[in-house]
Amino acid sequence: MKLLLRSFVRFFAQTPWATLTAGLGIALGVASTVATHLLGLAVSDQLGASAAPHLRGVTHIAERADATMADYFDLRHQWRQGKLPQVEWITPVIQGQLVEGERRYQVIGADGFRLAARDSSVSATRNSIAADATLERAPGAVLQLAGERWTVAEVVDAGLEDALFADVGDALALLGRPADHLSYVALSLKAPLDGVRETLERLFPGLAAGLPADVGQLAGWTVRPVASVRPEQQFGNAVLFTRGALGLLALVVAWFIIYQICVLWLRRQQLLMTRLSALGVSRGELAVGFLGAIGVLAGVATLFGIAGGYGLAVLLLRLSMAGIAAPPAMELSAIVVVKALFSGFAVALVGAGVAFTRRAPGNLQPPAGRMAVRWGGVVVGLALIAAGLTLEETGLYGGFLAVLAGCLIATSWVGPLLRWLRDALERRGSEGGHPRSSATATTRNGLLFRLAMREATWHEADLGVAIGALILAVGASVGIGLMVGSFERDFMRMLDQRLAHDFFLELRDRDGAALARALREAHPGAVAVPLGERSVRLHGHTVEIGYADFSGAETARYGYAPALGLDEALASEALLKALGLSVGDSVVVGGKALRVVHEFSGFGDVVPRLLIQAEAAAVRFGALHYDRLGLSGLPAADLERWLAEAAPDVVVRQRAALRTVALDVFDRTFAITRALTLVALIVAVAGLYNAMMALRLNQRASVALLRALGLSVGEQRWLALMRGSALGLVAVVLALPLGLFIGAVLCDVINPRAFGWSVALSISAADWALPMALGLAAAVAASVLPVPEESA
Amino acid sequence: MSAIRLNGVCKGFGDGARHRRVIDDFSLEVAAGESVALCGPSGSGKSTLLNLMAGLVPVDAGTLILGHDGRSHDLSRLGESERTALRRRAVGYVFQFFNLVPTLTVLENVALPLALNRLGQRVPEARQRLEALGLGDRLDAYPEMLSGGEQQRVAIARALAHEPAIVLADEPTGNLDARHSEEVAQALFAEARRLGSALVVATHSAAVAERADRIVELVQ
Ligand SMILES: Nc1ncnc2c1ncn2[C@@H]1O[C@H](COP(=O)(O)OP(=O)(O)O)[C@@H](O)[C@H]1O
Ligand SMILES: [Mg+2]
Repeated sequence: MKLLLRSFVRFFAQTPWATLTAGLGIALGVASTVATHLLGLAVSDQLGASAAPHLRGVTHIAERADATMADYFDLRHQWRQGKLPQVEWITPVIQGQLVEGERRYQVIGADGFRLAARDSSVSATRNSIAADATLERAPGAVLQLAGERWTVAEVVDAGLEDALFADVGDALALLGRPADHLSYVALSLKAPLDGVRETLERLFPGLAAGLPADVGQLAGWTVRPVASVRPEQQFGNAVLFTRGALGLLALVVAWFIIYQICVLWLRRQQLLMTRLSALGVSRGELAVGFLGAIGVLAGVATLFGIAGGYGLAVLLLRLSMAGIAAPPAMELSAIVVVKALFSGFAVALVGAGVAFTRRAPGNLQPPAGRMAVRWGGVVVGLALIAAGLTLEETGLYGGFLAVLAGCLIATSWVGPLLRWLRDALERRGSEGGHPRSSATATTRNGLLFRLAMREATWHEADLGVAIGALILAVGASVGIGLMVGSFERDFMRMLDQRLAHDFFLELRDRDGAALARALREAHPGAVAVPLGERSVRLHGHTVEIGYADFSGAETARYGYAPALGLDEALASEALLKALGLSVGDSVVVGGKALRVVHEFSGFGDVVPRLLIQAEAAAVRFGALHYDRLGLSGLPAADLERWLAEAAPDVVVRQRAALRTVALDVFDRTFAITRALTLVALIVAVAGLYNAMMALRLNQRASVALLRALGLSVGEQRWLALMRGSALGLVAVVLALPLGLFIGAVLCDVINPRAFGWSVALSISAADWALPMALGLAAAVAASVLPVPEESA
Repeated sequence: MSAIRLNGVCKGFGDGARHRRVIDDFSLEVAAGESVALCGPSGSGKSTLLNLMAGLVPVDAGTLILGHDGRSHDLSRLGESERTALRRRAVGYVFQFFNLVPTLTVLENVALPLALNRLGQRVPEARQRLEALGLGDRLDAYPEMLSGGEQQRVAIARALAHEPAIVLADEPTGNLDARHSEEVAQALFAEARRLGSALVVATHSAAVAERADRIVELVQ
């Protein structure tokens, strides 16, 4: 037995190049698995860290009309008595706006927010609050609010603008509400799927974020998942999920490749095995020897893969976070190691086992019944796609399931397409029903071309999986490239519209209308538009109402030409979706109806937005407060001179700078995504090279024969080039529709479901041509690149 | 002018201490239309000699001249690509096994040397030769569907299709039983004689060697 294993291991040593590439293939697969997992975790941690304090651990909120504290105590009583077994804990929340002079605050009160000062120099036993980081107040700062002095005991990074957090009693005092007032109840609900969710999250970080939120139920209350009141969390979840899904794709590609490598490995050992079996070594012993040998190789490769994947993750994170924030520390948890070992080791062994049990390289005819299975698969796949795309409730999973089904359909057609191509080429050689022999190609190029095509199309079993992986990688790159490109173009168009003003002035506590008037007096040519906003709750959703003088010029910033009427409004896509409205419908704000005349896309807006004329806002909300001033038609120098005298504390933001910041955020969002697809592409190319190399090693005799016939080196290269191009074309031909499909699903289904906005798919050659060219080049390179043992 | 002339040819493999001279100061002349059988134990260098004559491997020392088209070509002075071009035109090669390109049909395999030499118009003749060799109903078959004897007959048809001045055969019957061996040898010698090609056959079989005009014995 030992001798047997030794003979297998020695086989590695005698074929160092093949062993190296096989090991490299496995290591690359493992590395991509590890890297995507670690990146997913890092992003998860970052998003989790910014959860608002009053909602930490909260899964649902419960509301009812005119809710009071008495309702809350009633609910708590039921819970204490054990009548609400699904509830883990429960707490009341107070939320409202406090206007202090020209300044607005969002006050949030929750139980147990009586803060002990963290900073020992701050004595804050009474009247202590926590301030969101956006308020830019240090611990110990004192604010004059509602006629009292309040001390900032803690600064929290909740990502909620102008938010103050306090205990329930303090919040009620700050807002001047009656003592029994209640905004809503925050709950943590146990769900039957929690176990699944946790396991899934641990195995594939980010993937659980796409699971539909559990619909909680509480008699007499309207219960909603917490994400619906925290759209920014929804955004984070969607980013996480996309990352998770990409990680899964990379994993599938890696498994494909590792499996393929094992199959090829076995193929290469056929001779050794035949000899050993002739010596009387049993099949079982052979299997143990073979699996043991591949186990040794996979084990070593997996270790290298883990190290490489860790390095890759650190590198990618550094690159994508460069100059923005310190990249979070990453550690190799037990889960990552287990996942890596499973990917490298178990997949290798399973692949080898499967390859061993059905080794029959003769595959000129597909087994009967295969086609029926394939068509059945296509029908099931199409049904899955239809269900995933049309049923809104399937959420992100539906979208990605459709993508997955598309991938499977595309890859399952590699074999048939190769066979069809072969038959079509044969038929071309026997036109008009003549026997083929009478039409044998007799020109040199004709015959060599035929030879190349047959070489390309005959080895389905050797190359099928590798080409499938290449299709997946190229298809995903095309799809993601199209989505990112379309998004970028849409986003730029939006930026160009929105940033129509040369400057935006942050007003702080100043009176915007007065400042605009003064500016126009001093510089009659200047256009100054005060911009304000206010959040209200509409049908249970927090909505931002933006107001300004929406003359034609100002509405053009949202892609709408005419001036806005007093009873008209512009609505963001997210708002229409949240409220279930469409253009032409009416929405009641402040007791009066507004008709939605236009929909605009609000990439990056986490809150649904409604834009109305300033006058219409004044009718509803009384005195208006402006936050910003849009300004154009004034040279920067003049503006600065004027501001230095009239309003030195106003912050000026230039269009170019705002644009840069916005694009920076955009780039950062997609840097990791692009890097991950690149990883998948590299793994696929390595796999194809591997498969091609094994094929060429098997064809050494064929090569020697052609050489003896006087085929020159150039002609042999040409043959390889044709073969590689044919394979690359097959991959690319299947990858293009797959990529278009993935791009369309990402733009029209996954983006709206994940972020609340849809992206207009625009097909630019650069987005699809590059991955396609890369895929084609990879196939050609794999076919033409030297195989060192070939000449031996 | 002779078809093949070797003069003091040497060939060895391996570097340094592992270097071993396989062919040492070997001379041989084969006239056009003449057949020579190379005999000798395994490892005596028969295949190496044939590979040298085909220009597949370069000689280490000595001269190796092929006569083709009324001119002499000194292989020892030709580069790889020139040897390849000469081999394509002037040499036909039959191996012991793996003679045929598996992805080409019988007829295509035979048409390959014609196509490479831009002699496509001669395919119909090649077809007739295949029919004469009893392979008329296997023209569209792929090699893996043929028996060993059939494969060797196709290989012979292919080696002679472009009417090379020199035909080299490396144990062409080594894989066959006595009856098929007889058939194949018969076809090989008859075809070479018909075309007036010089024929060099490496063989272990006395029956095959006896058909040759001359037998050259190699010693280890
Ligand atoms: N490419 C090669 N590299 C190293 N040794 C070789 C090579 N080709 C042949 N030999 C050696 O040369 C000797 C003669 O081989 P060969 O010509 O095949 O003999 P034969 O055909 O008479 O059996 C053998 O010992 C063989 O090992
Ligand atoms: Mg030999």
